[in-house]
Amino acid sequence: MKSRFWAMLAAIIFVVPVAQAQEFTLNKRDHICIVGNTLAERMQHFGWLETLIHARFPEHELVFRNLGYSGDEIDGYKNPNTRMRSRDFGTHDQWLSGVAPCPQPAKLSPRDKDKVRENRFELTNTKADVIFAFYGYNESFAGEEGLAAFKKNVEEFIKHTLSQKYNGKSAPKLVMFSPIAHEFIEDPNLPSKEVVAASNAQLKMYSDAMGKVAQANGAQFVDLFFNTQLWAGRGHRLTINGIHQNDFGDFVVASYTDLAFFGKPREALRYPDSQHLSLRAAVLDKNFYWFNRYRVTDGYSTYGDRAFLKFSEGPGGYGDGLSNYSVGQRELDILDVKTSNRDKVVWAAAQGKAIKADDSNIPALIPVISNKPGPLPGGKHQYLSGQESIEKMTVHKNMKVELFADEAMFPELVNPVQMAFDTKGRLWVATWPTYPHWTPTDPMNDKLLILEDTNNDGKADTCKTFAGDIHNPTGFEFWNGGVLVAQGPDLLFLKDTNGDDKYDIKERLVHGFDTADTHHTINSFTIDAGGALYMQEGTFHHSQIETPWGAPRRVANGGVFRYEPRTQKIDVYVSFGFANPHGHIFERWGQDIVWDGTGAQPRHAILFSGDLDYPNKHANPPQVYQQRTRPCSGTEILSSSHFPEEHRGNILVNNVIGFQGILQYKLQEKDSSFGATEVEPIVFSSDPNFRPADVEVAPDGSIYFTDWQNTIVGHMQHNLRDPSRDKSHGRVYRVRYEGRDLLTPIPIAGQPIPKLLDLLKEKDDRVRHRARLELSGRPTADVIAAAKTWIGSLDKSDAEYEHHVTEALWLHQSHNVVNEALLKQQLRSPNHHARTAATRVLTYWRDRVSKPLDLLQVQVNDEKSNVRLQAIWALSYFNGADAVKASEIAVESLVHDQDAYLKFQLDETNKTLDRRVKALKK
Amino acid sequence: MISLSVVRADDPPSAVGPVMKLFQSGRLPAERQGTVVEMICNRGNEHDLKVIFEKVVQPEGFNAALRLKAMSWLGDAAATRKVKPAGDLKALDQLVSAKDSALQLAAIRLAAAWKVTSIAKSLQALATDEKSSAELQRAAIEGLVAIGDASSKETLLKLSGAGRPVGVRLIATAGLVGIDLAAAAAQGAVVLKDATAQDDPAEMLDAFFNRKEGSDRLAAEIKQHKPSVDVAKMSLRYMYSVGRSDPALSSVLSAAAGIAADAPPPTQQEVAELVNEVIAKGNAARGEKIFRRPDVSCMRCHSVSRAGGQVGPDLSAVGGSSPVDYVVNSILNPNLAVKEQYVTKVFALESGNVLTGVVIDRDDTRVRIRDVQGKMIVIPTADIEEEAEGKSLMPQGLTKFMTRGEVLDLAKFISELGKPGDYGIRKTPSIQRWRVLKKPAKELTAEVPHLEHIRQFVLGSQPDEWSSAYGKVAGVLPLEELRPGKNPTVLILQGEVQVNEAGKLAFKISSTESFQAWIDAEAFESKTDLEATLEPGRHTITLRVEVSDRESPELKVEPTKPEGSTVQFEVVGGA
Repeated sequence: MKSRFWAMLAAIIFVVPVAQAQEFTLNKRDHICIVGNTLAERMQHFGWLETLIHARFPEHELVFRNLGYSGDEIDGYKNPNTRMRSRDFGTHDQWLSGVAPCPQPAKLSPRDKDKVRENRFELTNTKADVIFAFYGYNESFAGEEGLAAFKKNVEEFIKHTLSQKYNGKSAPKLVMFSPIAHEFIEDPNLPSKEVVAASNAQLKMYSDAMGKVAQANGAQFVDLFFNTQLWAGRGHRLTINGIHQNDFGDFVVASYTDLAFFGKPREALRYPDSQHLSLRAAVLDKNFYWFNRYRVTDGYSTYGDRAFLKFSEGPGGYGDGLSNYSVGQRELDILDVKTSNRDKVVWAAAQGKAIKADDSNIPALIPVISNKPGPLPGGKHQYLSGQESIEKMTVHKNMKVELFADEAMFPELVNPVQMAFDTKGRLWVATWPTYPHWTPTDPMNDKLLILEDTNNDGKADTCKTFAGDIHNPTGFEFWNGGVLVAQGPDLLFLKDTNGDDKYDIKERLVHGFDTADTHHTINSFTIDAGGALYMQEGTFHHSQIETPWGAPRRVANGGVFRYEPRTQKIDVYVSFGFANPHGHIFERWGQDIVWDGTGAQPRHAILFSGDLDYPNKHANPPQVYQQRTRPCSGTEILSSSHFPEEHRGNILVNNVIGFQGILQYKLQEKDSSFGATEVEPIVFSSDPNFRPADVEVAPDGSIYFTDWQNTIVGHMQHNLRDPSRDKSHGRVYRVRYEGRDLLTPIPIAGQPIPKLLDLLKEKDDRVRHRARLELSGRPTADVIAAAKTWIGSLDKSDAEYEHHVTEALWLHQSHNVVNEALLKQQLRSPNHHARTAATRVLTYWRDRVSKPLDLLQVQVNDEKSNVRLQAIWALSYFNGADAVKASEIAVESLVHDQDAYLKFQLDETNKTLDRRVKALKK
Repeated sequence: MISLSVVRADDPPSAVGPVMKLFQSGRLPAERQGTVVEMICNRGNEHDLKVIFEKVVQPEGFNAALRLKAMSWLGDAAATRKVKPAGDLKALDQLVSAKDSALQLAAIRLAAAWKVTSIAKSLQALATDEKSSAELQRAAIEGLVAIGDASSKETLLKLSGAGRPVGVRLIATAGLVGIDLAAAAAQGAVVLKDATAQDDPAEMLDAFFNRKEGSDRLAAEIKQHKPSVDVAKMSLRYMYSVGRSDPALSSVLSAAAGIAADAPPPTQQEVAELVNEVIAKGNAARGEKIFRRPDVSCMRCHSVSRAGGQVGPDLSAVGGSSPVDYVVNSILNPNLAVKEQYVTKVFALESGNVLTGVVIDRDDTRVRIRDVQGKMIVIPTADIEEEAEGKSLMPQGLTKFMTRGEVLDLAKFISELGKPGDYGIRKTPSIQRWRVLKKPAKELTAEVPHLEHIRQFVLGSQPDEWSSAYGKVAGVLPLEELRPGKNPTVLILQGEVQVNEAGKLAFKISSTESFQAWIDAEAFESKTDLEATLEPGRHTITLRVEVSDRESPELKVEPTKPEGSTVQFEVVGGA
């Protein structure tokens, strides 16, 4: 951290309002539980509050357990819609008291006997004596109208809390913390000064209300709002996005809390607090284990419904053997014990002693006997080598499969789950050795690898580990010179700033993606031409995500998220009763298809991505084609000049059971939507372990795909810890077309902006995609200025002129620069695909262009049904009084020719608008 | 029972204001009227529905087809949203006595949905009139059920009692279930006792299944009135085929049929033994035959190569990923583990009905489920009293009708599906889902028909004139399955392809029998390689097969894309 922060900050900045200067006492061995929203959740990753309190009470041997959870609200202890959790996560009170029974004991098997605890939270050490509650940010969006309800909820929460004996003996001491102020950040992509001011007016109202109710009801109150707003305009950022604290912000919150509790600073507070670095390191180490216990991934198989699947021991399927429950709960015991062992390290550090955690007391893992042992000694399975496996493949006529990399060349290439080429043309692969999630006695070592073929022989010769300590990297995508990586429940941003191809910045950007089933956790990362990132999650999941742009986004049991990394806007793009969506493609005009992976059903996303208000979900739209196999693991558009033109625009669909290979479909326009027909598959294999996971067109025009190479892939058919789940194989292959030269990769990284703009004219989708990625990292002013020149230089007689201009429009969208003139030009482009694409851009700019509904009225009456379909979709995004007008405009589409898609779309839009109009009239 | 809404001064304004404006503006092209009327019926309030209803009863209001549709949409609005037109509904009476039977039927259904009690008398007359068509009689009975007053009940009791044809008694008893379960159970047991193998008790059994305690009450009565062995077997089979294994009913029917009572799910030890036997003795070829047997009814719910029922998972690849014991368990104990997209929900409704199915989607007004027969059912949210996770739709007792050897063969076959070999995933397309003309006109069978007859009797036929048959995994259609007792000798079969991009498409026909073929309306003699240039859309290939008396007559049709053709197509599958 910068040295100018080496200053005494506390005395100048912090003010303790008189009413709050109340003495706060703690008893020896008190257990302090932190509950609340993302502010609380993030505290465990910075650890300053715990550190300062331990430092204040070095002999007290205090126990902190952070139960913060993105999106929670104060009535969540009784309202499942404001504290969404996957099945049997444990209630608010169960967590605080450290008492929860096995959810379905009758389903345990004889083999589980004596292996499970009656109280599954027995070792959590929560048993709160003291509760720190951080609520109010999410609630504040209800504004003045919601204030009375909020006050009532605060009062009821306090009364509820004080009537409990979480420690088994006495009522807890309760401290209510107000939300922090919304920080204005000088960034045109984040909420404006006016928006922030309005947000702060609401936050102040809610903070004040909370303070009054707390005082009246016997709870202490700490006004974080008051003190964090004093920092506005002082040049020190407290947050990453206006609402979620950064390390310094966490320090400020901690310091102010310390001051509010104890009247005056114990000593001059400095940032960073060099006196307590080892104490803080001990706190963070303890929190690492606690976080992975409290938020254990694969929860649905650890305590939820699939925890109670039991398997045979020895060849078979389900049986009377061990359940997932006993095996998974034992791992939680280990994490609990490891956490408690680290409490001791923390206490020692507080007392100035350095000790190492002693984990000699952890219970043993419960060994699982495979229900699918292999024929080799020890039940091992036979695996072909990466090269041998090619002989088992049937390849498309004139195509050839070659091995690019395998575990024999790079032992770290294990369980490759997603891959992508960067702008330097290097292949990045996310590997998942801890699959299906981390075992607490192993290293946490999932990776992002960079594989490179430096001598152009078609084989990787170097493998660099960009990140070697991540967890469940179910998806990633490049952005702004770094990488966005899934690490459920968080979305991470990793960046290498010194050019050694290892990350040195790691930031938790977004919180709250559920992880109940890691196969269903945010995946299929895809960036559209306008710069938004899409992520998909499946059933069982209950996600709640906070954003500086409004109330938390919530979705249960299946959805697709849309995240704009530049503006940090996040929304639920599709809410639909998916089993488990995997696969998402955008065709060259920006229309997208989403697959439900489990059943491999493809659906045109426009039909179920119209706006919805939680908890509503979309109806079941018609499919693009009728799939003949399942399940689908990943998809791509084959857009490559290396292949004969007849393949251009075909969809590639990976399938991993029964048919193990890559299917190929011809995509066709059908009425206002799409249809597709199967053509000859790219490849399929008779190797039963062959599991093509991801597929992408490479810079040389060939098709690259990864092979997960595992004898078992079923999540529910085998114990989560079945030893036959392979952890040592992984391959990357490429497919080329014989008799046609590979393409010479086009240089992208580091190219001047005008060169990159010219690449937007390229025919091959992935070239344009990578050019856009590179442009996303360039200064907006330069890009937009160059784009203006570029548009002027385009040849209007070029058959692709309208597509080039659409690319320019998307570029503006990606840089979050509204260009109304360009938008209007494209809304009325002679090319109907361009008009459709522009209609979509208009939707995302609707708050910043004049009279968007008038523009949509023209689109809804377009002569082409595709444009009308997009316009009806767009109208679902209008709220409040606009909803009335939007619904009137939507109906105008009925004057024109109809088809099944238009009818479906109009129904969906009308449902949303009706609900809003009705709410308005109340 | 939720009461239908009444008009109040403070009712919210219409949600279809703009649609209504458009409807009344004259801007709407005639061919789009239907869409708009449907939209108004789907979302409009009682005043909007009144506008539609007035059009329905005006002689010149709508054309005949739209009028029928509008009546059915108005019925949906009453059922799903509990909204009916404002004002007096008596005008409906005139349609109930309409000469046009379709109109009359629609009016009766609407009157039932609206509970227009003034028509109870006419319904009683229609229901008891033996000259009424079966459809009309059924609608009248349903109307009486909906009205449900004392005299309606009286009529139903009369209709379900001795002296009436068994078919009518079954329908009337089904209706009675919703009004008076005790009386229905008593009547139902007696009807079953009087029934013969020619009667189909399915509809009546469904009514009991869909009622809280329904099957238990019926079982108790059956104890007093034993049905014949045939009827008991038939009822049991039906029960299992719709995924029910209600213990009380299963046990009395089994006793009546002389079959062993339900065995408990197998222990792990038993499964392990079965698995060994499947591997050692199971015969996949025999297993495929069992899989296809109508009384085992696997294909009612499951498809292979996309052809077959759509209720359960397609099994084309199941053996590739599932070990044998998983297959055995799935057959004998299907509730052990259910994949996420097949988890069922049970809905207990205020009316006392209980419905089970897989949820297709839901919104704030209705839930749509797919039931075990593949039928979509719309459940109004307002009617749902309780919702719970249900069991697998896979029936538990089916294997009662099979010998142990047959179970082994069936399990063997299923566990071979998707493995490389004879039962692997099909790599080249063939027609797998066939339509079979149930009662072909003699113009088609007596001699090779000319094109006009093909147009009239084949291309002009209605969907319900056909039944489905499915090719074996290897693509062959065994013809003897289609003609029990070697009858009929001429079969009219039809396959479908969906062409997405125009071009030349070839069909390769291999048959042990002589045949004639038509692609759409183009005739081909007995050629085994046909070729036609097809435009985008659905196309049919029709075969007239003269089946000989040979051992196992069979047929296979493989559509292929000829070298150089631009055609893009897929074979149509489904139930």
